[in-house]
Amino acid sequence: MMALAAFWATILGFGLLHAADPARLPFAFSAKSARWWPRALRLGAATALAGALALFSSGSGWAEGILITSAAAIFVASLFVVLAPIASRFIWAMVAVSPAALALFSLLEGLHGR
Amino acid sequence: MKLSKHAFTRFWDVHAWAGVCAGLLLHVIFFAGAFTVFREDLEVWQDPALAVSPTEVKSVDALMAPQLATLPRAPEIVGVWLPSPEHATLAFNAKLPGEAEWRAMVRLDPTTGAIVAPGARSRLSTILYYLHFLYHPNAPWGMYVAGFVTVALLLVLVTGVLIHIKDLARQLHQFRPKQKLRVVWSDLHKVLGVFGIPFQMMYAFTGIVIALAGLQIAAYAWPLYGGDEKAARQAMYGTPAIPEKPSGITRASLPFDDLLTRARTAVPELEPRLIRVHHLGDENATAQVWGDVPGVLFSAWAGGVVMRAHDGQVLHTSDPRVSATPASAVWRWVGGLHYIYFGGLGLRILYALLAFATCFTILTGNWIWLERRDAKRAHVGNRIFERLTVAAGGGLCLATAALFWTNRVFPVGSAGRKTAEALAFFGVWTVALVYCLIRRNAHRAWIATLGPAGTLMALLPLVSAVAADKHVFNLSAHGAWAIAGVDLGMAVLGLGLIFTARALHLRTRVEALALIAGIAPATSHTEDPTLPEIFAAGRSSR
Amino acid sequence: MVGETQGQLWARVTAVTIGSLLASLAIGVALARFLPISREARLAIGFFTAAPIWVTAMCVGFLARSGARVWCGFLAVTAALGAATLMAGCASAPDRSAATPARSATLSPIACDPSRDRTAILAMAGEYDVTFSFEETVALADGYTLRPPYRVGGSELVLVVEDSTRRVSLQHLLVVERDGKQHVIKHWRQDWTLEDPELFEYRGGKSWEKRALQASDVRCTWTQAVFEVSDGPRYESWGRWTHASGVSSWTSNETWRPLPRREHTKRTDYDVLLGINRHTITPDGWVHEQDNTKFVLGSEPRALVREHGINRYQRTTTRDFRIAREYWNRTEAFWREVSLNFHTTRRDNAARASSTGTL
Repeated sequence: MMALAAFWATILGFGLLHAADPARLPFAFSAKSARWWPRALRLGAATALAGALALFSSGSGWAEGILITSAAAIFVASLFVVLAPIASRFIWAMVAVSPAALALFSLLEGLHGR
Repeated sequence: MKLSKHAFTRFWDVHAWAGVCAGLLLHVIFFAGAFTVFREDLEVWQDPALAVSPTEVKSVDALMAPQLATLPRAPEIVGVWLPSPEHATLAFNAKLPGEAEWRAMVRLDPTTGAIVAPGARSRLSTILYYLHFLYHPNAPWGMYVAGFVTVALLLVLVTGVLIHIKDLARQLHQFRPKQKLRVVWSDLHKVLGVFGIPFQMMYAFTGIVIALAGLQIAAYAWPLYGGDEKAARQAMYGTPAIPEKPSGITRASLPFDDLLTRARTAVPELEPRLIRVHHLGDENATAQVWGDVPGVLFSAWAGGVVMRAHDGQVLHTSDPRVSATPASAVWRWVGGLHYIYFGGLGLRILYALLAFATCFTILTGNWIWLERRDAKRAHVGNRIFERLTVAAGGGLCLATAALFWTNRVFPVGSAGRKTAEALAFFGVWTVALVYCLIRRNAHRAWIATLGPAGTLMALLPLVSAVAADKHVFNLSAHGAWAIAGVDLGMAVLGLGLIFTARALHLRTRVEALALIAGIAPATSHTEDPTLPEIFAAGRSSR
Repeated sequence: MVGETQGQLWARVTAVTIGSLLASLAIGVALARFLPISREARLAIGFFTAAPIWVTAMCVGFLARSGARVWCGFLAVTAALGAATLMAGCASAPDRSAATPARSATLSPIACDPSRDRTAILAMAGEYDVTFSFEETVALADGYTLRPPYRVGGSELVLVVEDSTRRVSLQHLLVVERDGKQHVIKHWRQDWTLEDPELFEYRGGKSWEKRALQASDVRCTWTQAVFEVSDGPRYESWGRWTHASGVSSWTSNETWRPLPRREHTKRTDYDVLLGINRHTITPDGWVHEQDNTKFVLGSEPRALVREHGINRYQRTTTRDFRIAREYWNRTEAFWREVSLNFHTTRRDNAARASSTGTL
């Protein structure tokens, strides 16, 4: 469960990173409010990816966590960039549900642990 | 950082040429590597009798005694693989004095001691495993070829980074499917190549080290150990040399259980996986116990004990928690990263997918080469190269599908099953190669290989359901989940290949429709329709 | 590549591919030979950097404008480094990086030759007439009176119980005659370990302390760990073997030792021996020399007296050591268990203890 939660955190993180450039968003974005947008999203991406690292490391140590997070990040990033232009709704839907999925799997892990 | 024009041009050419020269072999290596990630699972899939209930072995001696009794004379080496998470059976093999080859590995049910497999009854996993490093027992130098080809990969990666370093960040998020096909391949190549750099670099480095270690160690033995290669190997791998010759004096070796207990005492918390005894029953008999050591990264196979077999005196311990030579510590990382001694099933699936992504990176590189340098395929060399790419890409998929089908079609234990598997794999691949070479349209050759390959793979679960008693439709049987996992994985891969073949087919239909309508089809690949146009044409043509 | 013929192109590519391989091998071997770090670290660096160096060399080589330049460059590097490595010799050449704690005078530079060291250690095995001689030489405390010399002899069998490239263990078995009968006394054991970074040092008061040594300090050294008749620890120290002028000799660092068996029930006026041990292989056996100082510990440690000891091991062919060998065959497994238990206890306690912990 923890690994699944971490994987969704990776999806969220890269989704935020990809969306940091308003031109890559699937919807129109007003240029006026664009100034804070990239910074906020990059910060959010970094937080989500750090969370993924923490979740991946929780059962197995930091070294292993870094290795697993790297592999997950590479996979998610590649999939994201390739699918974003051709299956835009699917990929952004994944990003949209990722916070809920992350919470759900974390909760399931917590309940299972008890 | 911006390179000079001279440097940029040189590195560009090196990247292209090195990629072209080594790419097809690297594609084969990574493709087979993706399957090798699941080698233990494939070993169970190919022989479902091996999926026995896991149980703790109470006495190795009780299980081994009947097997040792079948040997005509004392073995030179005897090896016992204890049950593990990957293999619930206990495996035993031996090499007898005077015999060139090891005897067949016998697998036992650890609960009953019954033989579940008197030897390897399939070559499926071995074929793919050996293909991964271009190895054959009759041509072991193939591994060195794989090593040198991997050096070319490292060169390709380094030059690729150098030529794109000026705008690496921009290209990370750039994929323009609405552009011309050549641009599509270029974007895909760069996205998959750049994101995949950590993965590819890691496998390039570890692959080179593993494949070429045998050649390299000799070079360092002289300046460091006065030519003593054994001492150099000991420092490198952390294990002492085993006495090579028996003394001729009979001296009973301690029981396996006793040796295992002593090993666990010498290296606390050791979880033995393998015990190997050289010269069993001789005064010079030596026992090696290798296993997992908890609490360290890459704990699998990290611990070991070497003992005198007749009295259990510990000669050497390998315990990374206590001490390790610098070289053996690095070697543990090399092995741990390459053989994925960390993470779980999810990580292995990720690695397999990244391996396939690397294959696709290589293929897109080949297509970029062809589109840039010879869009009309005027040069015979490029025509051959294009068809070899199809044979390595589509042909290999078809050969793999044929291999899996042959395993299921031939009953377990049937004579000739192993030969049939090898013939099916290499035979189909050869036929596919010949087909690709004689086919005028490489595009159609892709469809002709990927389509059937995907279909065969997608239908594999049904074949398994008919041929095996453990499959995706009978998950109640013990061990069925592991077997079903392979079936489902192959089915997903097959669906992906079918989708790809269909996408290629629709593009071909677009050209055919244009011809019928009297519109000159695009003859230059720079005017190829974009992907959305292909799909749109396909839908409107129905 | 503009302005270049096909032949020139192939010549340049060949030059880069092969030339860079030669140069990178030469660089890797040179790194492994000359870096001022431990041998094992040099092996690791030289071995694992070979491929990256080769690829880097290829990248550099491909920037050259002609094959001739490439060949010149790479062959020059290969020749220079190869010559330097050859002149420096193989592993028996002087190791510049080793710290040398040995104090024995030599007529030639100390060479690092673990293989020869091991041969010398194994040469201590055999059947011997042995004499133990100790004499207090210099009184260091006010009012101290030198004790009479101690001399005793016997027969001793020294067995090799463990032998590998990096570790040798020798078990001493005394054979004494009493009432016309031969008796075997399991005597001391000496374990020799090559480049051991861990030392268990005696610290007085029946306590031992684990000390981590720097790799540079233990390079080319052998640690001698001595165990008493019960297989419990006695003392441990490290030093270099030298083979100058055909004489193999090992000298320890300053070593703390508990009171010897000959004095531990008779003397209460000192707490530890601080000494230098020297093992020397002789034409007819070997000798163990000791330069000891007897120390009183406490809030103000003070030296009591200096002592010199020589244990001479002379080969014999006239003694019958069968009883000793039979004893060892019967009890080896038992002593192995005992030793393993001591080792496990020591390791577990060391893991739990603080830096000044006790065993």
